Amino acid sequence: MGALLYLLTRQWKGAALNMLRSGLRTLMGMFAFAVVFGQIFQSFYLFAALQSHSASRLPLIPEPILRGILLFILAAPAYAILLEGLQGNLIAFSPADVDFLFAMPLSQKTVLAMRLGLQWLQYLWWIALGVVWASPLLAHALAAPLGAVAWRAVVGASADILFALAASHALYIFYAYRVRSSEWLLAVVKWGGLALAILLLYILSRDAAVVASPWQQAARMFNHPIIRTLLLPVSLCVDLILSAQPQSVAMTVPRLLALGGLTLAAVAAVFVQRENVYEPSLAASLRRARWRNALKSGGISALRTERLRERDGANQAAGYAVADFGVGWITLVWKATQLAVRAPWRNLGIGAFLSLGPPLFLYFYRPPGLEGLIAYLTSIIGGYGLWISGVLVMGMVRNELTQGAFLKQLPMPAWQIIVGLLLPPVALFTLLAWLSLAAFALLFPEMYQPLLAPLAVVGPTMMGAVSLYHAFIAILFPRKKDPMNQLLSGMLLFPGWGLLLIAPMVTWGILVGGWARSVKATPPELSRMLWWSGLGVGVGYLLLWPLLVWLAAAVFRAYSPADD
Amino acid sequence: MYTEPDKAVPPSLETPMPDPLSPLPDATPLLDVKHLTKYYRRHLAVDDLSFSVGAGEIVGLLGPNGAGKTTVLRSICGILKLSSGQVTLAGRSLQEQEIEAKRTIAFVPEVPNPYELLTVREHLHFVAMAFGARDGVDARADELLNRLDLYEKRNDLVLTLSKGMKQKLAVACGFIHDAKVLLFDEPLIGIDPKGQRELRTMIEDARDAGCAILISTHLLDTAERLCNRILILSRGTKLAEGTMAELHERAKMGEDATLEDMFLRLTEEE
Repeated sequence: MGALLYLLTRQWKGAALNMLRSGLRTLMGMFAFAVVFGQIFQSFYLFAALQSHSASRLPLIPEPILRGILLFILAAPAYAILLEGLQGNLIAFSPADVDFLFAMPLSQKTVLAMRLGLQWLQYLWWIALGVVWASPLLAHALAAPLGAVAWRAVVGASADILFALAASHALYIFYAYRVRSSEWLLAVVKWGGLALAILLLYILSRDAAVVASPWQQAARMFNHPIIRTLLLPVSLCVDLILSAQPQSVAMTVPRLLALGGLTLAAVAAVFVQRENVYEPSLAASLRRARWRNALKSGGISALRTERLRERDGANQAAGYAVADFGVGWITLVWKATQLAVRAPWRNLGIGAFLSLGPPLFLYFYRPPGLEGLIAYLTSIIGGYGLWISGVLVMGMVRNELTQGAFLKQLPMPAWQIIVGLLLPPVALFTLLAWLSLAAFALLFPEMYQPLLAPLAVVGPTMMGAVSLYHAFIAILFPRKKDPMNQLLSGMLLFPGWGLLLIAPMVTWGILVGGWARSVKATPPELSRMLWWSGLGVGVGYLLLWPLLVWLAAAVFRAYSPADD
Repeated sequence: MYTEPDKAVPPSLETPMPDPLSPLPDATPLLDVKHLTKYYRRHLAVDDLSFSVGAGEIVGLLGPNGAGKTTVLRSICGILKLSSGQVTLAGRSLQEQEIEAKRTIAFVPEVPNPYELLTVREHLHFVAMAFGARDGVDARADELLNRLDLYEKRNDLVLTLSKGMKQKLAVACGFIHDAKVLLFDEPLIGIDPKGQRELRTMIEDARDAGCAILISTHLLDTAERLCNRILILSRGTKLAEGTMAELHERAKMGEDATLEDMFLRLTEEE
């Protein structure tokens, strides 16, 4: 154990030293910490201000709705962890671990415990930040003491995340040894799971349609007994937080004990397994390494070859080719187009499914009485899509930087390289977004048309700005294996999203909404206002592009491929 | 033959290293592999392989690409779970006394992937600590780094090293503790000529000190010069095993035939 602690502490020291090697990175790191701590203090000032002005008390949110919101917020990371875990990504150790740690005289359970503990600690940091940000507002909304809300939130979320991590590890080890070896069992799990998910969606939508308000519908879905059972640890965590209310009927101690018991059971499920945990993790690590190497050596076409090799042993890339076009930075666009054509068809399928799936599903199913909820959900999914596309672009840029030495020697200015790298993915995501908007416009003309035209303008321009910001962070912190890089890039994303995504959209919504209410605007007037203001927001984003390209290019000029 | 633990220290390393092992009977091989079989799901990677390596012996593990050499090495050092069979390291069963068995080995992988955010010296410290060989680690580390021309880099982060330097670091990690069984996967690839010569000397010193050494390599001339015995694998099965003289006989080739000639003859026959 001493050796493992030595390894961890020295790696953190090494990460800090590595960051200090670059002045710009150090500066941005200090900026990230300053922003985060500034926001922490700001949230406390906000709480103090709210407390001292009782007249400004926010309207109390009904408990079922608050419970639904908390359940949604807390279930999202738990679900993401489970998904990552079931893909083997959580148990995939680094190549250094495989080469050194696995062959050392350390018990596998110790190594696994370290892995689990480390992953938990990483999440604890974000939980702590989240609690500091959110608990003043939550305490105010619940009319509960800040301390009571904060400690319940920290303990509850920590136990919930530990449960999700441990359950993911236990399920993956069980899956690797018991399920994956049997094709029919694998098919039952995959298709059975899909069928159950569709059935669950049907049951929930039928149940939610009995109330009218979209908020109540969402709350009813999240508070459904099936969901509460499926998300039992998250539900217990929410109950625990809500028990901070002075008039709450929820008991703190029994819920605390139940949550603790579930978490301990999940952790025990990991450590009672007698299988060799190195082997599935080695398989996952090797697979990741192969894909990384394939990407490094030949881009997406090599990935396709790797995918073919994995699936059926065939070692042939698809013979599709796009005639070459352009000179200079345009050739980067051609290369990306060529590789996109050769990308695994599954990716294209996923893109088309995500774009066309929701409108088609809603068109054919049309859950009665849920139109309002669907309108809200569609906006949320749209915002989520924009955020995901930014994250995907960040991954793509980091992968491109594995060929940093090649990119740096290209005889063209840095801004052209940035544009050449980012144009194809932004164009692809824009196409997918337009495809989705067009489907909504065609299938639901009465419900969405006033919003679609402005969104068709704002979406791509905002996506371009968000992608450029993600590219800037990716070039600044290119190393995926470096914990300091991960921490700082994560912290820098928050102010970026706040400035580029949330603030303009909220401002836009408030201004247009306020105007519409004040003049009692008719639907055609509102539609016109949305269109013109949307155009204005789009132009605003467009004007930001050169600044963000300049920023990303400046960091790229300073970037040394040896840093990666 | 296996020597007493106090004699098992490589003579080039003057600083005494702690020895976790009790003496073994002389006849016991330090590495004993019996009926090793390894499946990757339904793919048979190694089929019923048995061999042993005694103290003071170097065995070369040869075979075409995909023959199962790395799988054998990874199974011996406990990274992979055997589908069936037994591995015994210095008298400890890997299946029953995993930790004690692992304490006796050193594994130098083919592609160096050291922890990039440690300094060179910290990396050696970490490995020594994990193997319980903390006493005198500074002196041993300095000596190894000097021998491998890495001393100047001792306080640099590993990520700043070249590929060859990382390979040398991996080698140094293999020699930092008191391993009785040394496993090398293509140890000379990527190392400069001076480093290659030094590494060969270090391997020979370890052999003279009574260690059992298993080297997987494609460099047949090196294997011919360095190894006492050769084991040729093909498609996961043992194709041939023996000294050079025994392989000559097995391949039905004259005395002037090189190991490369015999290797090609035997693998083509297969």
